[in-house]
Amino acid sequence: MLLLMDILGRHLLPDFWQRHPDSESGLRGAAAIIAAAAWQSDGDIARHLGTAAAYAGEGWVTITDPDGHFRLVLRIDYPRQLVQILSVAEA
Amino acid sequence: MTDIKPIRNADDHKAVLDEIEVLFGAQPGTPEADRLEVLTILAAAWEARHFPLDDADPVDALTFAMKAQGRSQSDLAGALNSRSRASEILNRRRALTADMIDAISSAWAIPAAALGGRPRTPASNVRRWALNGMAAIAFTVTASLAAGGGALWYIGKDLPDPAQVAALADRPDFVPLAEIPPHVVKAFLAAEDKDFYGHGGTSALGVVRATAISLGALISGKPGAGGTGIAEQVAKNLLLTNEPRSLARRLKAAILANRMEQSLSKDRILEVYLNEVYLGSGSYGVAQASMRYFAKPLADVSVAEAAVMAGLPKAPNAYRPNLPDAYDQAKAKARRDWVLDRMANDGLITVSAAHMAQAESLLRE
Repeated sequence: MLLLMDILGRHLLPDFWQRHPDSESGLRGAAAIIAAAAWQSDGDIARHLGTAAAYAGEGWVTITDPDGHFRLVLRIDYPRQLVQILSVAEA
Repeated sequence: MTDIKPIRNADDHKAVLDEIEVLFGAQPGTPEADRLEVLTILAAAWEARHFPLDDADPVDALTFAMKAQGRSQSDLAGALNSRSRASEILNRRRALTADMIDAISSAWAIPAAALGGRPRTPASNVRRWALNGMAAIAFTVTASLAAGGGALWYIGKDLPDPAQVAALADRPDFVPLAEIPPHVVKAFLAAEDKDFYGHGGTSALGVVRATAISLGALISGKPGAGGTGIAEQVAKNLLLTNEPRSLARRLKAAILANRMEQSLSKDRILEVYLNEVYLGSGSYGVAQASMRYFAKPLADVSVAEAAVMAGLPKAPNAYRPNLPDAYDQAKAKARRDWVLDRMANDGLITVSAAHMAQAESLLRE
């Protein structure tokens, strides 16, 4: 059975888009992609998000909004299918 | 494992997330891994309750993934074989169908589950004003109709018993609904009354609503639009045959349609409709029409042929597929293709099935 990712730290998303309304659509879109994914490696993220994602090793991933409204910093535990949003900041 | 407590507030939640960050990636089989697992469950449950993401919008997801992958609206038009569809989807005027999701997900590696939700409706000021205006008009019409309840009662008091229509089943060539191919039924529902099984009509409010729809349809010049389209047609064609076209006739049809839905099942009304509807060239009902136009029993008609028949009630003589003139044939094909598009849009057939049917000629050689 395919397990989809659990996302923790999702409260950071509305916290950010309430202060930066232009970011809401992109943040919702990014969250929808993450929640629907079953990533097993950095390569899987690259297939879905192309150059918007950057990798720092050990599951640390940065996703930069192509429209420049935000930057998401995530940590991913691939075996546990767990994503923790660590921060949302202006790009 | 000690001192793990439920998350009761935002401070508890923050403390748990901080600890999860420290424990992240713990080796399986260790106490840290066990603790991480329990804390994750607690935090996920708290967030699901307070920050649900289940209202994800597929257009947000598609747009974000397209930009991230460096794709444009033209690329989407290519993936869907249609510029207009791409534009309508990105502007939330059309929902993604299962076929579209499959095509996009396969071609671009976008998780299909992210594209399966319902797009939110843009609420621009213009739209809000329009909705407010429509609400005001609807209120006025409804209030007027409520005030004229006595008039409605007067119109409705001498109408025939709607259950009479069931007597049509005595006709020797009557085809039970169970023997009518599903794609024929779907074609007529798509063309004539896509909400037929969804709308009821058992209350006084239902009569007012149906009457308001009829009034609106009369004013807009679009007979049969919305509401109780199929039941109204049955009422007009079988019970009001000698009534001249008028607003009173429409009101009577709306009242009869409502009464019919109280005394007969939806299936029964649809069954009667499919057996009595006039489909041109002297044919009444789908069985006669399939023999007339395609020289085959109803059980053998294709999706394309079903769509031809379903396009006929609106103008049986104009859309007949057996007219010799090339202009008339083009009109009939356009009407058939419109029905097929409606079927695909309503999810009754796949988009690819609609395209294949649209590629067929009107009448088999």
